[in-house]
Amino acid sequence: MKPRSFSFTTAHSVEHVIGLLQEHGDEAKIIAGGQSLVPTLNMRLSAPQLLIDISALDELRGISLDGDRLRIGALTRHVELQSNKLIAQHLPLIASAINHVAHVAIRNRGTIGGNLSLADPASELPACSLALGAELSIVGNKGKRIVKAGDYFKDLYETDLQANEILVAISFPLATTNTVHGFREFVRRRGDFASCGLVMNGERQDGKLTSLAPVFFAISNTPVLASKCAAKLLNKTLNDDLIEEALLELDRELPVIGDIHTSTEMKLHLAKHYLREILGEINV
Amino acid sequence: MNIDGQFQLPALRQKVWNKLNDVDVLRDFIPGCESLDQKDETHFEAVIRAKIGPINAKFVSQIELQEMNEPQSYTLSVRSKGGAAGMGEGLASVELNEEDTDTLLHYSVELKVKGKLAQIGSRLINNTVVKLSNQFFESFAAQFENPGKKV
Amino acid sequence: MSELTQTVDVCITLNGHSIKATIPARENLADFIRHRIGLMGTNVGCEQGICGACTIRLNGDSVRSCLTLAAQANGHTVETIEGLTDSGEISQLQEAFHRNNAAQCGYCTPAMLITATELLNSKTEISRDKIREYLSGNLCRCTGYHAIIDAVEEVAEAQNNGR
Repeated sequence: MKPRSFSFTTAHSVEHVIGLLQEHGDEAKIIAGGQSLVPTLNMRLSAPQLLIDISALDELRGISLDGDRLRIGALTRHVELQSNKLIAQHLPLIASAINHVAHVAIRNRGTIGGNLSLADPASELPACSLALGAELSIVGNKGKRIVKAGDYFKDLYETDLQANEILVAISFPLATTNTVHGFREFVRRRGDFASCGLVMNGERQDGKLTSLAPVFFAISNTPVLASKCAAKLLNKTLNDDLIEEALLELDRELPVIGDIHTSTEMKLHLAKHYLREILGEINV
Repeated sequence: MNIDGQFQLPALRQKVWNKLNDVDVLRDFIPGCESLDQKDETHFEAVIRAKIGPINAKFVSQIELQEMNEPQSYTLSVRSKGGAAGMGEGLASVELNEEDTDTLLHYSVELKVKGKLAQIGSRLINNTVVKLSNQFFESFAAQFENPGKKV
Repeated sequence: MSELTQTVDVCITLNGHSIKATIPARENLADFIRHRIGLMGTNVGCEQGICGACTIRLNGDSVRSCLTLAAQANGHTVETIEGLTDSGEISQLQEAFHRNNAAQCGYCTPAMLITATELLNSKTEISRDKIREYLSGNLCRCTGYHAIIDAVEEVAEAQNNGR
């Protein structure tokens, strides 16, 4: 199928984008890599009247150290995250997760800003943002604001990003020598949308976890931080009994929604299995 | 696909039943409802714009009320056509049970989706039903004295 | 507003030739290549990014031409299977595909060649697992993939021995 007709304009500044969004409201869509938007255009599942191409906005590019955080411009492509030395050094969780984001040709065009603006519940990067305590820089007609990842993901494809706003950058705190992390996901084919996944980030001192953020994805309408489960594991010596006790919390706190391929029971089973595996891995 | 859920509504069962059968009330609370017309006692036609993330498509739905058992239960049969986007068929059974002065509403939905929508969206159908039914029942519950809560 | 139109003027360097055209904004790069230019080696399958049959090179990177608007390729460099064949860049891999029976109906083949070439050109160590992973976004309904992986592995080994 072919998309419905639309107008196309190349934005020359963030202000230009905001002006167009204000003028055209719901009928305008921002396009960057287009890897999620164009399929819905092709299938006529959406039919905006105007596409605003932001791919020429160099101010939205780049990966750079900003004090004790790493700032990633919204137009940074997945392939750039994969090969970047700062990411490998300071954000090991992202470095391991990014290899699982879609297929190579998609990673060559898809952007982190597009990914987080859409916030697919099965996507790896929203979960990483939540686990790492990312901050999202959003610009609108009232200027710039910073939103913590914990306040950003609202519901299925629903974020704190408003219709006349644009995500310009994401910043992450840097990993320390105490940082521990893990990544697991279950997919039917490498690079496809996951049926259940877990990203975990934490700090360990003297053999005990002093902070822990296990975030499950592809199990519900948003990525889910299992904070009650994590609380059980803090400041204690990890052993099998403690881990099993913490896993019981997942029954209570994960709002699992099954899908056509993977039942609720299987998703919960995988969630527990992956947490057990990662805790075993970091406890060695 | 089968999905079910429960909501506690702060009103007597007969009142909830009446509201659930009031076209004007439903028109206000069905997410994305652009129009809802009653054809006869048990048949309705609705135009609903589904806006879920990148998807933004209009569906024309034929709704039939079946197995009416006032004020306790009924079944909604919905057939939606979204033009090129595809079509969906759903059967929703709704049951109302009295709990003191509250009413416990239980729903269970059986869904089939066809066409392009199924190709792209099948993995997210359940999520969508949960999101939209939460939206509907939260705003539906809010019209009674106290806001209802999901149980 | 006057600046908003449903047509776009583009200038795209396609296989070394500069092509200027006024096109509908909704025209994707796959249709631009096939119907406007007439190069039929770029195949269209699912139009939603799943099958990989439409993979081409944009500024040196493999991308889905069905998920790229031609308007977004304005000012950029596009290479298709025809360009890569004529330049001889992929001849070794093409011969390996031939030897290993890695092409049957041929629908996925141009995109397989382009994706596999990107892996062969990367400076990473190449294993069968790595090849499988790299080609996971390209569906083939005929070969069962083994012959394709054999062919890519053969070229990778030849490259290694040549170093």
